[in-house]
Amino acid sequence: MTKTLLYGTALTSLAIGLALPALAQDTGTLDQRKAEEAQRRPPAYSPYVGRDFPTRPFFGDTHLHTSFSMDAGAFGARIAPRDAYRFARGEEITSNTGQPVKLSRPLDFLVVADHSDNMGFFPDLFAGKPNLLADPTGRQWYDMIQSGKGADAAMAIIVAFSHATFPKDLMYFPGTPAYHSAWQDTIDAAEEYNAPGRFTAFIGFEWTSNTGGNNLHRNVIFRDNGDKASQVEPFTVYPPYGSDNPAELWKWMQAYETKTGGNVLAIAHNGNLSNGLMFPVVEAFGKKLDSEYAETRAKWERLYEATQTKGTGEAHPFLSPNDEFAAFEIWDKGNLDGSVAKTKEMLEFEYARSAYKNGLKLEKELGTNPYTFGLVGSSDAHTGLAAMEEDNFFGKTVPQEPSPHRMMEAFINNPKTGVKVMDWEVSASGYAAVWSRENTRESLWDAMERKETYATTGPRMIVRFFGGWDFVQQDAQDRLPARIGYGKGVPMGGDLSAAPGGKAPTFLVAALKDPIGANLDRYQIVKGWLDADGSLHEKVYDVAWSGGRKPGGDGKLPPVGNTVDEPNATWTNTIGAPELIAVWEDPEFDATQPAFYYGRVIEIPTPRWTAYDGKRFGVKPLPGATMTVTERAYTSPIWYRPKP
Amino acid sequence: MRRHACLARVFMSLSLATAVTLAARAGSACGYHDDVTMARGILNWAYPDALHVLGSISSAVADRRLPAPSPAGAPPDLFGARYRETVKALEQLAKALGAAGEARPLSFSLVLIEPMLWTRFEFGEKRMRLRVHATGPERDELVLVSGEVVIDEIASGRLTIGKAHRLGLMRLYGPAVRQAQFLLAYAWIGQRPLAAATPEHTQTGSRSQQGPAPLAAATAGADIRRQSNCWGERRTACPLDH
Repeated sequence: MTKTLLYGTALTSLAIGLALPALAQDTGTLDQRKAEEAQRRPPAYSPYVGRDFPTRPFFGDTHLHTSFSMDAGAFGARIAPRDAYRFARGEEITSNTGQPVKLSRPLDFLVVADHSDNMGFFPDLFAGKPNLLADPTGRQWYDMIQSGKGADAAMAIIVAFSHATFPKDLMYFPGTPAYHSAWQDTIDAAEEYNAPGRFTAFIGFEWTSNTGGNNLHRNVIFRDNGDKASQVEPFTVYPPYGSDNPAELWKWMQAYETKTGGNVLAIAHNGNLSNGLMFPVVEAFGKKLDSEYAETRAKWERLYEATQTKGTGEAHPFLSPNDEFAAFEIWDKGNLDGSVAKTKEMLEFEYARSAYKNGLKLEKELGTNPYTFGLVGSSDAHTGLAAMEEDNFFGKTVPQEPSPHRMMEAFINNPKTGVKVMDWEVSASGYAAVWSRENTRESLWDAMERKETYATTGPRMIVRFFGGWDFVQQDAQDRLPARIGYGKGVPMGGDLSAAPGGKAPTFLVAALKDPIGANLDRYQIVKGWLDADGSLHEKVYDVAWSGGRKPGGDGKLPPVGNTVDEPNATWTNTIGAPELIAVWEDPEFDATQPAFYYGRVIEIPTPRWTAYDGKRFGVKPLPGATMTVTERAYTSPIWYRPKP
Repeated sequence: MRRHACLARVFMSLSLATAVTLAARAGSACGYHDDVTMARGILNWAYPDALHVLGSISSAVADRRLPAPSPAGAPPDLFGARYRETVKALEQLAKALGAAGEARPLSFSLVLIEPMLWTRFEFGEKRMRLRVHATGPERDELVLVSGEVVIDEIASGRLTIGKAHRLGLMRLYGPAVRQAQFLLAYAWIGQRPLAAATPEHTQTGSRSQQGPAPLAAATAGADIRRQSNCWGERRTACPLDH
């Protein structure tokens, strides 16, 4: 293993490259004419002339709910899409519980992804929309609300849903004028706040397959503007209009593209509450996995939500016992409603790393790897507020907006199964980082499509990850590693194949701390591979780290330390490093074995949101509550495929 | 604030996608529905921005102007002590209101937002009647949204109604004239500790429309004990089980 550590390089080095035409896939359009022209042209004074690759990551949230989502509205969320966009682009607004709130820095993009089933019902009911009042039951509920019996109305609504007696005419289904109106309003809000070059407001929705309480949700994101998105209505779950089978969603996505000439992609929800269903290896919805399944899934599900408020789904300590950082914000007690407790056998089919590994095997069997997804993080907040910083965490739902009570209560509590998740276990996570050339719908979406993305648990560290065959130690000393990275390799989300004779893959990795965040502990590369016997393996390599630490006899790097003062919710950047950069070569490479590699960047310990709350409100945490966090980022992998 | 339901469960309840599933097992799977959370959420729609009281309470706790909730690990309130404290504060408030002002007092409803406990303050010709655990307000009635901890402070003489209103710890809904009348008549209440309550004016019980009941009797009776579940660990559907 080779390592290079450099400190003190200009903080802009990762985000800037020199004037080389894009040589890596999908990072530009280099044709013969342009190449010849570049060769003929004398070097310009400006080293950035002609640069054609992403120079900065754009940070955003691909999964935010507003009052248009049925459950968010029921919890009291009154922030609608327009206010959600205003907040994301940096404005100060008032939260659902009346608290002023503002992001530390604006986000670059936002996807309002409201649940497609019953989208817009709550705001319409309370606004007394004519379509709802025309129905006797709708009228009755509205009158109850107006006469102060809102709680009773809520109960009546719940009972109507749960007993399948909800009046058909009140249902917000595709094809109804009311539903169309809600969808159009969603589109209009995105159109209104989309500002190419400054802030991107994506059109999107969440398809919410939840049968049996097992979470198989997907967020669908449009590349297109409203002219195309408004030609359809979102795919829903409830039959006969929709389905809970992801394969049907993929058909809907294909139909959309065929009809409009537009583009959509899907991001699978964190699978940790799917109870073993998110990443099947044998069959899905009663059908044996086949090449069509693998190809279709790989085509549409370009990204995976590795971290969000309901925990992190990168790895699990049971599956990765040698990974001391795997036990991070884990939710492994049951499914989404706690109706079925988790068993260890389910875990393999819920976490990204095991899916990557199983994907290698499935590719051998089916010819296509269905699990070649990239990674993002996003909030899944149901407040309209993409506020995922530890010291600025506005919760997952309205009851979890800042209050002296929110550390004390249960988020999931099913006495029948014993599944209980406390509110303090809700994570202030995450965001999506996208290496895009421009802050536009098209450019960001294209970067998502090619998986040039990474997940963060909240901080905005800048992370580069390039793979190739020719990176050398000196490359890690260049102050513009992106120029080297794109010139000699592929970025995160890319592919390597057919290793040149005698060569092992090399990786140029670099990370910068969040400018207002904590220093970095280490940069790791996670490798998984399939051996000749058909066995799957994984290994985590420390490739760059802060300080003069040396791995111990067990190969483990000593901990970076901890400066967190929990009672006062403070820490210092007296440990760790502001940046890490290295070139690493796989020391155990076998050119005949398919593999994947992805980067994981770990921050030094910092106060968790629970510590900030404890200090602010003067409340003591419940026993066992976690008060510190090691924030992190996960890059999309680079896959290696042997010669066919 | 009491335990609230999980997002998933509520979504399950509300999602048409799962309606059939739920219908099939409604009897077994709905026992953990926490209607308080839903009721509180709906309140934010029915009385726009009612939940801003929560934010104001949070700010006041952060400023140490209101006490923090019970420390973690405190024994659960299995016997309804907190409920009785709140009823006592409401009774004290009712007595103070009944004794205040020369004009004919206004009937109104108050919802305490932590437990979503509705209380009606009914002013008759000769006396005030308090109905704790009412089903909700009457049509076009003045509605007050506040918190248990706020009422405690008012009863203790540490906070006036007027200041609570100014700080957003108490929000008023209903006809503007009635809001103004209420504040005009009662803003000063809370300047000093409220006097002990007059028990016979209190009526408790969500189903009890049968007229005033002595507090002592109610406290000792089955009705109040049943409701005490609202304050314990296993409270389920208290405010909506009318």
